[in-house]
Amino acid sequence: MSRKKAARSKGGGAAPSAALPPAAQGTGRSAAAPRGSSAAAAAPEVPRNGGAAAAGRPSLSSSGEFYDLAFKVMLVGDSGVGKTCLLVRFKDGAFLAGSFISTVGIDFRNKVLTVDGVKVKLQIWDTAGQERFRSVTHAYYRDAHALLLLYDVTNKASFDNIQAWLTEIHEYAQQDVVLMLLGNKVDSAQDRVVKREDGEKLAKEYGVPFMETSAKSGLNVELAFTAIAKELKHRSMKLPNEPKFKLHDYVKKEVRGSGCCRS
Amino acid sequence: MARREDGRDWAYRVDPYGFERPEDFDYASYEAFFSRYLVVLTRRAIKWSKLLKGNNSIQKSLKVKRYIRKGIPNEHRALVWMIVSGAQTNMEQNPGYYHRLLEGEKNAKLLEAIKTDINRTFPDNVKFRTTADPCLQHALYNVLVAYGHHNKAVGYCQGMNFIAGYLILITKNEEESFWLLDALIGRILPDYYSPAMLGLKTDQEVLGELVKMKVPAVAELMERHGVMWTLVVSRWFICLFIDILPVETVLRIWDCLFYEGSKIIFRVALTLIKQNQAFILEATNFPDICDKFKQITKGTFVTECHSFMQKIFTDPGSLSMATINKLRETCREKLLSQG
Repeated sequence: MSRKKAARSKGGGAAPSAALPPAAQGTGRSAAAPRGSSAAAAAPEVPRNGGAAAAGRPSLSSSGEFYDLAFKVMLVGDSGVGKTCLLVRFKDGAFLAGSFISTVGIDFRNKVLTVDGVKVKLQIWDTAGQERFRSVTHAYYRDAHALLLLYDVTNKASFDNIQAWLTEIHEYAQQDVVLMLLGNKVDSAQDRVVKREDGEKLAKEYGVPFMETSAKSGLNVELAFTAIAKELKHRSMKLPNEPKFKLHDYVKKEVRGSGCCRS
Repeated sequence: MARREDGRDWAYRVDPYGFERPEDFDYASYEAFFSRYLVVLTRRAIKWSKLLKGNNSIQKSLKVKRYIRKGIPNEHRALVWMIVSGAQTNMEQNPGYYHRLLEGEKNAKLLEAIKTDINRTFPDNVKFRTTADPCLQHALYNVLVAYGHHNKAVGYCQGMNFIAGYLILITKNEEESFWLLDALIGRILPDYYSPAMLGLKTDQEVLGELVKMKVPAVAELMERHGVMWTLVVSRWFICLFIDILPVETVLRIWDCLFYEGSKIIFRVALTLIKQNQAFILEATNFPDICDKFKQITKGTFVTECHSFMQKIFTDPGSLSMATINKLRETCREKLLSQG
């Protein structure tokens, strides 16, 4: 059995950890474990009964990379909005036009990033967008710490479906899941049919942070994942005197525009 | 991927079906295998020519079954698939039907769903590039559109694009591909592709049960780490091993699939798992397990398609259709009661 443990506890002995899965948290769900902890179907990394955390000793991911915290992030949205491209851009820094195949089923990749000196491993789940696959994929929602919901700014239907996705998320995901709305493919300025303002408006309506991205140019891709990682890290190991991390404000401050209208 | 068209070895970078070989393709070991396999292919080709001599008809028999298990030569593959699957009969009994489907009224939503995937089907195959002449994307689009309007209960499900793509590569004929797709989806496979995907979910559970019976240590590992079968095997079922196993191996599996039916999928899955049992059991956590399941579909064991196909009929032991049907029944009921 895995001896992988979570959180190097900087805040003292409480060892607030949010390693996958939350079910493994010995003491359950404090602020440290933003997930529900029922015997989850997908229970990566840590034995369910995993009690005491070996505080101070980071874990080794299967790829051999050390990390302090681990979270599960899911990419969702209509078929063809660019979920896999976004993931590959973030993971490998690459975008190869015309080299992507449609995702069938569900898959994941890991990436470790450093957030304020803490190594955070994101286990990023990529899902098939076609509606009929949802009955296969929504079983995974409940274990997700964060969801990136994508639409394609050149495809109005994918934007119109966002509400349906939000309903689905409300039904299956944890209540405190970190959610972010992304309008992807902004590099295709010519074909854009969804204005940035429309995305902003919808996001505001639902109280969700929002940004426009381009997996092709890389615009805001790193930021989207970093922002998520920061939020999750702050939730799980907040120091007593540390100011609260505000995801909305952070995104607003860091986001880059797609062209002429914003610097 | 940088396409190199400079050297004399360019031809080897693309396999006979048009797929570009990956950067890390192991040419040396593949050649070693292929020189051996070539002998088999030649022997089989002679046997098949005799079997099909003069009359292009095949009656089901133990001899034909044995022949098919040993592989259908590529030049006869389309024909034999057409005959043994019943596609040929259907095509002959419904002349012009395929073209009428293409000329008829269309469902806009269906067309949109198919269009989204046309560019995302085999970008690594030179015959599916927009620069190819003819570009097989058109045939693929037609076959999927026709099928979606023929079988409205299924419409279009991701995964069908890859299957239709393979059929087009082998038959080089739209109409035959359509009827073979119909044989697979309409008769040979349980309802994997309909919106509820109940057949798929059922068969994933059935595989879980079979693993419990035949490779219990692996079943126990999956259970202990809470890995759902759907996570590691859904693509095996939906894509019928396309992009999972090497092309030649997939075609050999399909030879048997068309003749013997869907239980072949279980045989392949069980063989992969059983053969790699010790390797899978090294996994100590959830992502490790997923990773192992990806790795067991690579390497010489699966590349050497001839010996692999022998193994699928011996390794998993007996596997009767009665057992599978019974398991399907109980698993389906369980799924339905879970809602």
